[in-house]
This record gives sequence, structure tokens and C-alpha cells, in this order.
Amino acid sequence: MLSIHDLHVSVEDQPILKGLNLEIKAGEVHAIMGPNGSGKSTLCHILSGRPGFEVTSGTAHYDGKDLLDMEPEERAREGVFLAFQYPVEIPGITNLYFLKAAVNAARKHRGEEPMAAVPFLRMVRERAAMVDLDESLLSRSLNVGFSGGEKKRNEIFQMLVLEPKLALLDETDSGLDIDALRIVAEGVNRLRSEGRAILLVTHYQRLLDYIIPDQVHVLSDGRIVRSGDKSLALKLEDQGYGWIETEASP
Amino acid sequence: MNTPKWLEQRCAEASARLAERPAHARAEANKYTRYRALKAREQAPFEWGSHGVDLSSFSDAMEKYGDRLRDTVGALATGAWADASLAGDHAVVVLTVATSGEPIRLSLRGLETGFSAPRLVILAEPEVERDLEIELVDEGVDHHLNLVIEADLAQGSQLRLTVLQDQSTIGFATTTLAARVGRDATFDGVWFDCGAQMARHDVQIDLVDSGATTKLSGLMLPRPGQHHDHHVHIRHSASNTHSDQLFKSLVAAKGRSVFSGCVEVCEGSQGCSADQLSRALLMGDGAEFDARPQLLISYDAVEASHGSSCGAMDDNALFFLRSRGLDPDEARFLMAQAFAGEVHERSAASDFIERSNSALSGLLSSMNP
Repeated sequence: MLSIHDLHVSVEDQPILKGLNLEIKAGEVHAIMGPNGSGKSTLCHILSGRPGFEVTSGTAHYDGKDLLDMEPEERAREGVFLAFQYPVEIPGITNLYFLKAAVNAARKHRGEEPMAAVPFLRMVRERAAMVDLDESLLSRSLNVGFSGGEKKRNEIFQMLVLEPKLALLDETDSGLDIDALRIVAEGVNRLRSEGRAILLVTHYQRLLDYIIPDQVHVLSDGRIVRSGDKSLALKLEDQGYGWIETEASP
Repeated sequence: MNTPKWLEQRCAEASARLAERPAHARAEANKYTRYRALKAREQAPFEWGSHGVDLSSFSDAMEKYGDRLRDTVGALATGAWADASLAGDHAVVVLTVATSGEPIRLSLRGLETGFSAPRLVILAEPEVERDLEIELVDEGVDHHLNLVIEADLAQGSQLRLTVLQDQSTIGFATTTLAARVGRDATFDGVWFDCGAQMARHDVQIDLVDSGATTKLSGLMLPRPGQHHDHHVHIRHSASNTHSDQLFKSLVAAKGRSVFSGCVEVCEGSQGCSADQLSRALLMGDGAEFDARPQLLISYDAVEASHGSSCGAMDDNALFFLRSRGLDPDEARFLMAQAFAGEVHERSAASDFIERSNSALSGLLSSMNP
């Protein structure tokens, strides 16, 4: 589903990703871990199309299409979703209003009619319940006055409503207490299916207690330097990144 | 009926002031206003349209409200454009709000090229509660509408005014609104500026008795070459009076908006509160917003705040909406609507809000030809 080959990315002429390779097949969950500044969030940004990042070389294909050649909205309509590390507050735009616009943009892209109000409301209420999101937040301005945990749950709620094929979760677990972490993880697990792939960026192994990854990758200085199964995350939790960085250095 | 002596005298005084200093003369208070676009015009016809109320002629109203009119007409509104209205031979109409009820709708239309200076006097009786909606339009001609409104709100009355300025882009609007707000009375005003080559609104509110309150808001939407301008002066001249201002501008490339807001708290006016906020979104190259927030506080026991901000649309928020599948134009429109929504919410005139939204949409479209 996602195939990244020798990807080099710079921000303001500063190289961040330096030859990243990654393959994610449909149905798989991959976790990316790594020390601060290793390029984890940059990977999410570049895959979702955030402006300000320059691809200097390499490729990223999604479902056989050149992902890097698509505008952010095209990627979203094709099924790519980014759960933001720092969800944006937008006063004056309600959750419901914006989500309806987002759902209908994707439906239009697929040649479908806009979703009628009643089934849409039924669907969003059902999805909000899955992440224990208070219904009153649906009619509030997007993330305005939400707690940190509510913002993160709102991201997962949006993901459940939009049903992406490729979900990129950028440190969704940061700032969550144990209960919220479990709820968010349950939401993510509900999305797991044969036809979908999930890329989790996280600092901590604890999220992987709830979302069992098929593969764990360690990103260091812009490259994936080690891949393995869940046991790799446990080792990182126990020993830190020092041993990998030592092994990886030329 | 002959013109009363007191009005003759006020007209003469206004003429004298204008002779000394024309309305569009350069002055500190006018430093941001594009008066050079104004030129001397011949007097031209206009018409009032009304729905839900009958406007009275000045002479008819004098028979019943003589004393109150003497304290209002030419006594409340100050400034050059108010003088320009008094100095010429311009019609005065009186609106008496004697009962609560459905919104009153007035439409003021400039009919031919030239200058007109209608004057509207509003007398709100005690304890009445009413919405008043005024539309300023023209026939697509170079018409300068100079409207003066003087409002006297009696004890406990509540008047909620919405003004939609939707003139053609070759038209001009200068309006002066002066309101005297009595004990426990409320004057709320919302201005939507959608059209005109240049529009300037001078708003003068005097909170003269305890419990008087005002909430003023404006949304300015200047497109390229347009100039929208608000000058507000709120005077807290009694204890426990409250004011709140929220003025927003969404300025297209080469458009310009101005907000000059002054809150004056007089000596001895304890327990007053005053908030003022102006915000502008600059949508392209050459967009300009000038703000002059001012607080003149002559007493300690008051709460007052002011703030002003100006900048481009939040790129982070735009990216967020695009990352959810909204195309850039739709994302910008949603953001612009959200920005304007806070002002729209303050008016009950749904069709005015619709027209303001339509102007907003036009402004955004003009940026992506």
C-alpha cells in the first residue's frame, strides 16, 4: 500500500530524512520509534503533504500512485489521514460542520452523492461513542476549549468517521493518561482491517501494549536503522536508543 | 410648520463650522480616511423604504415630541458629516419606537449621481424592545449617501440595530450614528460593510445613566480599491455602564479598512466595564488595516480592556482542513466564514447575514480569478 524508496527531505535547506526506505502492506500496522529530531514527524508531514518540506530525492507511492505528486486534499480523498500531534484549534468552525464537508468531499471524489443529514448524524454519534467523545463537543468549535485528551480523541474520532485506507498517527499517545490511551488505542484497533494500513509514530512502548504492531522501525538521523517485531520496542524501552545509534554509526 | 428657532440656530452653527473646515479636510481623526476620493457633488434624490413602521415627518413629530426632539436633533451627532447634513436643506424623518414587536426594516436608496444627506431621528419609548434593520443601497450610480441617525433611548428600552451597507462599488457612504442611552437601556449595533468605493461610519454612544449598555460590532469586507472605515466613540458618563466592541475586517489585496475606537470613562463613573477588540485578516498583497484603539479613563474603579490583531490566515489551520479533503478555496471560505461568524452571530437580520456571506464569497473569488 505504501512504498517509500530512498526518500530525502529537507526543511529550510536542512536535511532531515536522508534516504528512508519503508514498505507497508495493506492490513499491516507499523510503528516508528526514534529519538527526538530523528525525522519521525517529518515523515508524517511529508506523507500528508504539509507545505514547507522539500523532497530532494526519492519516491513515495501509495496504492501505486505517486503520493508526493498529490495535493494534501487529493491524498485525503484518496484515503490518507494524518492524526496531528498538535491538533489545530479553529474558532467558528464546528466539528460537525467541517466533518460533513470532509465526508462529502471524499464522497464527491468517489462519484457518490453527498451524505444526507440524518444518516450522517447517526454515523458520527456512533463513532463518537467509540472513542468516548462527549456529544456536546460535536457542535463546538473545532478543538476550541478541548482538553489535551479530548483533542487527541477528536483526531481518532475524525479518523473513524473518514475511514482512511492509510492512517498516519503522529504521537497520538503523547499527553494522554492511561484511560485515554486505552480508549484511543481501541479506536485505532477498530479501524484495523485487511484493506487498511496504519503507521504509528510514538516515543513510548506503552501504546504498543494496546495496538500490537506487525513491525517496529527505529528511525535515527533520517534513516530507518533497525526493524523488528514488538520485542524491539520492549528492548528500546529497556535500553534506550544508545545501542542502536552506536551500531548504526559508521 | 416653520422650522423652530433652535433648529435654525443649529443649522447656522453647522454651516459656520463647515465653512471653516470642510467635511473632508485633513485632520488627525481623518488621517486614514481616503477623503481624496470624495468630490463636491450636487444634491441628488434618495428614497426611504420602510416595512413594519411609518416614518413621521419632522413637523408631525414636533407636535407630539417637541421637547425631546429639541434635545436630540442636531444635539447628539457631532462631526463634519453630521454638520453637512444639518447645513443643507435635507429631509429629517422621525421613527418612534413605541411598542415592542417584529423587526422594523428601512431601506435607504441613492437614486442618481450626487450627494444626499437624510437624517433619521429615533425615539425609543421606555421599556420597548425592538430590532431595527437599515439597508444602504443605490441604483449603481456615483451617489454619496450621508446618513445621520440620532437616537434617544428612554429608560429600560432595548434597540438592536443592524446596518447593511451594500452600495455599488462606485458609491460612497458616510454615516454618523449618535445614541443617548438612558437608565437600564441597551443599544446594540451591528454594521456589515459589503459595498461602496468608500464607506465611513462614525458611531457616538453616550451612556448617560446607570445600567446603560451598548454592544457594537462591525464586519468590513473591502475588496481591491475599496475602503471601509469605522470610528467609534463610547462615553461612559454614568456609573455601572457597560460597553463591548468587536470589529473585524477581512481585507482583500489592495483593500483597506480602518478601526478607530475610543472608550471614554468620565470621572465618577464607578463600576463601569468596557471591552474593545478589533481583528483583521489580510488576504493578499497590498491589503491594509489601520487600528487606533484608545482608552481615556478618568476614574479608577473601572474594568477596561482593548486589543487589536492583524495578520494572514493561519496556514496551519488551512493545512489541517486540506488534510481532511477540503480543497483550498473551500478551506479558505470556511475559515473566513468562521472569522466573520462571530459578528454575524450578533445580528438577527438573517437576510443581511446571507448578503454579507455572499459578499465574503465574492471577496474570496475575486482573489482567484
